[in-house]
Amino acid sequence: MELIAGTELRSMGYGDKGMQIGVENYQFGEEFQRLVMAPPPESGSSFTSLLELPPNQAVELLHSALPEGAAEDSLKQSNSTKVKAEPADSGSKSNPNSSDPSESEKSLKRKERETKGNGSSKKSKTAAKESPEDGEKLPYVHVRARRGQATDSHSLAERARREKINARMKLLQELVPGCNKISGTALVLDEIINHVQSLQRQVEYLSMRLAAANPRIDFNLDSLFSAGNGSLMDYNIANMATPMIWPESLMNGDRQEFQPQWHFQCLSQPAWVKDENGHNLVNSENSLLSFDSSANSGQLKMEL
Amino acid sequence: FTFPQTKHLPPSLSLSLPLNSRTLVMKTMNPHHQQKQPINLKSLRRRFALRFIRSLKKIHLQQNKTLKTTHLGHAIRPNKTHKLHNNGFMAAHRVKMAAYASMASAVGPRRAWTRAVLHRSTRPGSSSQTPVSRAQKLRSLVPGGEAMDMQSLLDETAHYIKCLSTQVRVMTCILDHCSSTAHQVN
Repeated sequence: MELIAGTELRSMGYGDKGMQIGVENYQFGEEFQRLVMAPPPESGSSFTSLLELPPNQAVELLHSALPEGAAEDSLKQSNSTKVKAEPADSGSKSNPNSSDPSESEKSLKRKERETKGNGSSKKSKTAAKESPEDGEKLPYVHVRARRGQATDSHSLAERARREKINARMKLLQELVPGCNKISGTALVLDEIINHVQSLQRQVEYLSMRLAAANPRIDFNLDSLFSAGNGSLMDYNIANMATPMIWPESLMNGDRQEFQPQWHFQCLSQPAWVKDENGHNLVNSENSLLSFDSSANSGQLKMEL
Repeated sequence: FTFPQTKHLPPSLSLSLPLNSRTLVMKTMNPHHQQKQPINLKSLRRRFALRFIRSLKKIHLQQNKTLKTTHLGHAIRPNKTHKLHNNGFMAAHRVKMAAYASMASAVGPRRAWTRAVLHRSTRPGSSSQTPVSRAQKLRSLVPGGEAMDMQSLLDETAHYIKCLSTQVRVMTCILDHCSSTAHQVN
């Protein structure tokens, strides 16, 4: 989905009595209005659902735009007005032209991410501007900050920064296996750190083994890489390396899923191996088992 | 802490796949970044594998050289460093550095952490303070993470994790291939 070009983000601060409300004007293109008119999300727990976009598009927005306001801070500040705001929001948004924007006092959780257009910085948010009185003609929708949130430039900027960081943390959570269930930034960070450390230790261990096995390595491999298909296939068959297409599902980062798959495929190797390679098969199986056992012994060693 | 369990190693995973097949273009792990990053015709995995194997060859030749000179000429007095070179105390370190360097060059200088790795040769190892907070721990883990703000640190961490896992898989594949070849010869 293409971004709406040339949009500007303006905000105004109203000095209300009890509520500190910041109002931001958005200029919507047609497409976005269509999105806006979509039914409200069921549970607006994630900002992607609040944006009513598929997550990848939402994150695309996040990454290509300069993410500005907080799309949702629900994790941090539970808001009683949240539930109220949603139907009000959808109701009011469906009639953007009917209500007078300057008087509409709806509080929206969702602040869409729009490009800054001319690359103006976040400080432009605090520029006060009067709402146009002919609001019915312009496709403006006023957005307010949630109840209890400060609207000065510092807190807005900090909120934007926090939102960016939270978005990236979510992406990291998807990368690191087993992180989805954990809630809380600190624990997720711990998990990420553990994962990176384990990967680095794996690299070290493998390099140790490779260095030990170096003298016996047959270094015709790179000739395989540079040569054409023919020699590759010959080498394949001769050395009974399974030409296996790397399943792309692996790239989604869930190790527990594909590891048994690989294991199964390794064990099913005998299916296609010919007699002459039976000797090799046994050796490879032994090497697999020995590698596993040595991995386990390495595991034990490192523990001690 | 326990040594990372490599779970079930994929010995059947072969590196020697025809380069012409485009079926193995490894997509970036993060689908959100697809539109941002250019599509790699030769995937990261292959580029890394190629460079790594080349550097392994170099190390192998180096080791052979030192072996031969010590045996034949007796010109070089067998001192500690030579023994260390041969025995593999330093060899493991060199293989590790070769792995990181080849991964960094396979990615290119477009990432902050790869630039930090590639420039590591000139700069001596700086002593950083013991990490107190979690963010500092992460900074000490990711190369070049000291001088990054939190946002880019998280970005770099994501890419770094992806590349590290590729590295681990390729290295296990190479290792297993070599050990199976070795058994075959014997």
